[in-house]
Amino acid sequence: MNFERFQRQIIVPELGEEGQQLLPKKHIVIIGGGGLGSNSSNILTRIGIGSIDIVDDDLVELPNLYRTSIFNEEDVGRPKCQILEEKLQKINSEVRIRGIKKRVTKENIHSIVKNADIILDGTDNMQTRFLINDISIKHNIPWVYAGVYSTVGMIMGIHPKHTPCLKCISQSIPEKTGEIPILGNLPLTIASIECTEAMKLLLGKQLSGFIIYDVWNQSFEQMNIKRNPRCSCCQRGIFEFL
Amino acid sequence: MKIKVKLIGRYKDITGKTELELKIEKGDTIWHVVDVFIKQYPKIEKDKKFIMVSKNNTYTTPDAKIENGDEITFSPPVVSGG
Ligand SMILES: [Zn+2]
Repeated sequence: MNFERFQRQIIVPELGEEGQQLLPKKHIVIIGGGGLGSNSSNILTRIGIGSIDIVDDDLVELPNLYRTSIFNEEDVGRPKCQILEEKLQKINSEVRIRGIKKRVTKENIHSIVKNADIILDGTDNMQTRFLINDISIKHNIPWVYAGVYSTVGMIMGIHPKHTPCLKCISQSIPEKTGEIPILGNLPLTIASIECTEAMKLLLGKQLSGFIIYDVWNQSFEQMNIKRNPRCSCCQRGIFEFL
Repeated sequence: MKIKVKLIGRYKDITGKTELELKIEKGDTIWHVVDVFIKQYPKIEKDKKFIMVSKNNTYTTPDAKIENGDEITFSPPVVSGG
């Protein structure tokens, strides 16, 4: 990969030339290409990840446009993953971008993520997140959870056997009723933090724990949560969503 | 005994505090502490089922007992939009 385009990034001490050289060797699978997934795939393409799969079965709709920086009016009605593949490829022709038009299920998730160095959360429901969590813990593939609601975003890098898993931090979740409110600029902000945690996982750096960020009140909190010794998934190996 | 509860996210916003001191009996459960909290801040009642309580940095179940010196944190449940 031509490193000239990264000259200002290479001088960041946290990454350095060594880190930059590592990124093109990595393969990331992003599950979901909506508010979070479209923004994070854009960031990851630009910072020099070598190979990115974006898995999404939906078409672009007008109500998607306010919270992404990739889709335009002309894209409405076309598959999100296809638009992302086309547009992101133009950003850096040396990155291998693949849009996969599939809905992730327990039957196909292993074939989708088996070569991934990391899985990124771009989903909009807990069911798929628990499925990602199960496959991550079972096959030892790190992933980054990210979710948004109203003005609040949450992020946690999950490194199997080292950090808590999603099950460790989510015992009770309110049932989804109606449409989830999301402030337009929230997904981009949260996707950006999600990508930072992804980079740290790829480079073997210390993660920042469970992050809760309210973009309206500018309240940023990090919780140093430990693994739950009674976790059914990462402690007892029960993969109920697979 | 008195325990200190750290407040995160919306619980910090609602109370306007980052930390709260609650009076409980030795051996009371997490469930009881949540009740005491809700009595002081009735606005939180609808969160009762979902409030995430960690004890010494580990999320715990409502029936867990609290001992002197335990560090308790109330935080909101994980969010699911994308
Ligand atoms: Zn776990």
